[in-house]
Amino acid sequence: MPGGSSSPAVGASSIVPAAAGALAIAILVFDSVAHLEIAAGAFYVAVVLMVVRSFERRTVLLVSGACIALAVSSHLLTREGPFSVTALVDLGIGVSVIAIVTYLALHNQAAERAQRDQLRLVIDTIPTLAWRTRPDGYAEFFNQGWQDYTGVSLEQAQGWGWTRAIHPDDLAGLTDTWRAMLGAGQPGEAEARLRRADGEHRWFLFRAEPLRDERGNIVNWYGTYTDIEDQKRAEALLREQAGLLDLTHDTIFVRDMNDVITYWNRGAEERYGWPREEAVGKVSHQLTQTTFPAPLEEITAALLRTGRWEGELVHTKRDGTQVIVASRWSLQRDEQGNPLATLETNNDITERKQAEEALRASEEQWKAAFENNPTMYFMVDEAGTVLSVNPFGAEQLGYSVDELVGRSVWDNFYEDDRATVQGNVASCFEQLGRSMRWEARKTRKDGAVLWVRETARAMAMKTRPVVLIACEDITERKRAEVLTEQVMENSPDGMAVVGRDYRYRRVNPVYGRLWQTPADRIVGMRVADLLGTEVFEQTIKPKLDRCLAGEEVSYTLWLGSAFGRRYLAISYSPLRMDSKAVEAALVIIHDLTEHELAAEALREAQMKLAHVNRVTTMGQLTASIAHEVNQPVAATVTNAQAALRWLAAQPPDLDEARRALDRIVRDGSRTGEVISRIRSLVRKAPPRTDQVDLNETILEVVALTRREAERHGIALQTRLARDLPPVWGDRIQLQQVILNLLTNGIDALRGLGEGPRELLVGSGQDDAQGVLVSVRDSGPGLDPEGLDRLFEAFHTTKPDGIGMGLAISRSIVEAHGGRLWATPNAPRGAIFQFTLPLGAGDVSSSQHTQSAA
Amino acid sequence: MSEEPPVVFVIDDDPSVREALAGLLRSVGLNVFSFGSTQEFLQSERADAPGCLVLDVRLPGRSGLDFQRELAQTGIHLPIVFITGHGDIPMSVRAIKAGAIEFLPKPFHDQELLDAIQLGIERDRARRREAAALADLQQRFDSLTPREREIMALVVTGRMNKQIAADLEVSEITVKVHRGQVMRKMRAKSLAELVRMADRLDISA
Repeated sequence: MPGGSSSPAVGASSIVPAAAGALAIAILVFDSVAHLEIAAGAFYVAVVLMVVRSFERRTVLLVSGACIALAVSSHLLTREGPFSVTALVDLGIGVSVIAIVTYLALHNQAAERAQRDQLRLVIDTIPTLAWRTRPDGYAEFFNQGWQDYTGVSLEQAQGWGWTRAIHPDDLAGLTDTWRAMLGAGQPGEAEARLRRADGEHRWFLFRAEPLRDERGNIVNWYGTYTDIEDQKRAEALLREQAGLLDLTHDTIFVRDMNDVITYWNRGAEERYGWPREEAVGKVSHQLTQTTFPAPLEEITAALLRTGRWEGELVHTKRDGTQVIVASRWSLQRDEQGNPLATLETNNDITERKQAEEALRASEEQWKAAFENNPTMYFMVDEAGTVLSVNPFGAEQLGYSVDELVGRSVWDNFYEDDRATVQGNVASCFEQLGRSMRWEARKTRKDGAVLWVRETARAMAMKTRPVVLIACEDITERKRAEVLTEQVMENSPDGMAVVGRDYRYRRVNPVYGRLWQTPADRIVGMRVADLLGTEVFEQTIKPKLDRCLAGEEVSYTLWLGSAFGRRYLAISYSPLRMDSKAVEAALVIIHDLTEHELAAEALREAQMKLAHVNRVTTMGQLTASIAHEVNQPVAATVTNAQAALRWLAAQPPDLDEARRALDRIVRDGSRTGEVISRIRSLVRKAPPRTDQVDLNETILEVVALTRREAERHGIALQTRLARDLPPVWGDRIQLQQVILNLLTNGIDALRGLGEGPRELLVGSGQDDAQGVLVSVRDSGPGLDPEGLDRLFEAFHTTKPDGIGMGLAISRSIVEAHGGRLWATPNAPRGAIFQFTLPLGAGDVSSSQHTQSAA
Repeated sequence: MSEEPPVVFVIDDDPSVREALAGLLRSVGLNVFSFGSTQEFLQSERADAPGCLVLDVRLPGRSGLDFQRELAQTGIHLPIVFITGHGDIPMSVRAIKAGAIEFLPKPFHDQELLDAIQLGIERDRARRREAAALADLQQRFDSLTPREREIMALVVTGRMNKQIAADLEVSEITVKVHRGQVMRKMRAKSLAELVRMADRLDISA
């Protein structure tokens, strides 16, 4: 609406007067030239009518007068012929027409003005902001309210001056819409912010509608501005919320008070299948074919009354399927409290409904499990009050469920175990979710005692902590355990369980007594700590390892214990918790010391007996030899005496004497025969000549004497040369030599007060192409003065010795062509050693006899 | 009463020893009978003369000590001199306790042996004399009538005739007559002698 600012009342418009003037001149010229007087006068009516639309009464009268004057003057000027009445009548009609039309137009103009002034007064006094433009959009009028609100005067606003009151950001949009409306001639509306007189902008709805005449031509545009700021804010708020709500998967939409959807979030798009563009503008209930649980009017009334409503609805989705939703309606109001819109949030509870159904089924299953499970279940609170118990649990205790619920659970426990269980349950409450296990005794209603194993766990049930206790009757197992325990406790053997870490897990009292350590102190100790690292590493660990690898291991051992040295029969049995891995070893120790001592005493007695036998046999042999020789000797002596008597007789009886002497001769030779007979008797034992491996012989003897050595705490060791060549000789005799030397060594060491007890048997090759065997002891050593007599028969340093051992040994060795001698050992003790030549050949019988004698 | 010359019996399984002993004993004038075994000895006819047995302790079959016991049981009261090749003290003690004269180890000193034998012979001689006297006495006692033996038994206990008469319910005269018979038959010169005789005969009432 660009253009001037002149008011129609002032006649400031230059187009209308100019056009009117031009028209008047044109009519004058036409009138003067055409000589059509009647028509000319009528033509001036158009000029008057033109002016009357835009100008005041006075101006119209002036123009009318001028037109009359022009018509008259034109008549006068153009009349060339004689004055004619016709021409004069024509002139008079034209002037009359002008005058009448002027009158009528002015009259009409006055009535119109009065009406318009009245309307303006109305418009100016109503609170709505109103305006009017010309058909081309030129603003002619703004009511007083508009002017007061914007602080812009009518003069300033006329034409397109009103745009200064529009927010610059909204101006382009508004004018575009407005021009479109002008172009189309259709009513419309637009939103824009209008600046208030104080500078604040508020949102207004701009509405315009054309006013048309009878022919449909637009006469004026009328419009209003409506303040929609509050609505706008509410909308913004909703949008903002909706923006957030887009993020959720819940179905959220906003509908206005006519249930037209104004917002449709992504959740709704997904849920129902309609995109936002399709949904917005639709009536929600129609779109989703909502089935209400109550008449919609009641629901709406409730919504308006309370501001919210909740309920379950059935909606039909775009694809035709139905969903059950939990619907929540929330009424939005503007600042004045007028309802603006409804926010509807829908949760698809179809699945939840199904889940609920499933849950109900599951609950039933659980309930069935809870009630019929052959495990006792108790749920107790912090005070120990039974909240629930399953029928099985109650039954096991001899009660009914009702008898137990609400009562203290502690009452069911055996008195001695009560405090422990209370402590355990308290621990559960301290740490929710942690499982604890224990075994305890419960008392049945009839007084019988049950052993139970309980697993408990605290949890929050509706914010209140409770402990659920699952309880299993283990009386049978416990009974078996107690029996097992009794076996352990009462076993006369020492029993222990050793884990793979070589620590004691369980120990019975006998085992404890063996080491004079209480069994409960041994539990947890390492085997090495109890028995000593050396014994453990050398003897026990290798055998334990075999057991832990799955083998049954048994052995006997002299072991130092709290009771002194004990002879122990030890067995290790693998313990398996499952089929494969050996988890621990069962150690059973049977103290055989008494048996062993008795057996040793027996062996000793047997040895002594053998010794006695040998002596006796020797005595008998000697006696026999003595008797054999003694008889002829006795006869000889007697004969000699008889002969002497015959010779001394008076007279001497020479015959008798001779006979006696003959007998002497005979007996003498008989004595010789006896001796040679004995010798031939001895000779009958065939000399044994074997190929003897001395190492083997040494090991045999060591095996024989090891037990004796161990018994006296003597470390008996061997240091044998490899590839020792064999010697020729009597295996048994050589064995006896070595045995004799070892026995001497043991005897020398056994009485030793302090210091190491070591006995070393060695073999090696002698320089002089022979074999050397040595026996070294760490005993008290040899008396240098006694060295010479050491090998004499009947010389002994032992209280119970007969002094034959070394003598015989030397005889044997010498019979084999070897040498036996003794030297002091360093730092102390003695070395007995002998050499034997290689391939010592046959052992002569004479040497044998010597050694036997 | 004539005395038979003494006899020495030698039992030894060794012939040399046997012969040597026999030679020695003969050299001192003793009659010697030697045997290789106890059986031979027991089966032989032995002269009724004082004697002595020289016995080897060790004999085949049985020991000399056992034989000593056996002889005592069979009433052969020969004194025994043991000789031994290997004697020991316990054995000799047992032998001596059982009545052996001597226990001599071989080879023995001849004089010791001879002394022992002599002692044995003397002891046997005395025993034989004693035995003979006892036999005589027994013979006399056997000649008594039962009534006389009855009265003798009472007399030697010291009872008076009167008491004996009362005991036997006979007259005192009868007792006196029997008593006189007893004294005569027993050749007892006094009551005391009769008492000794009864004692030796081991008579009791």
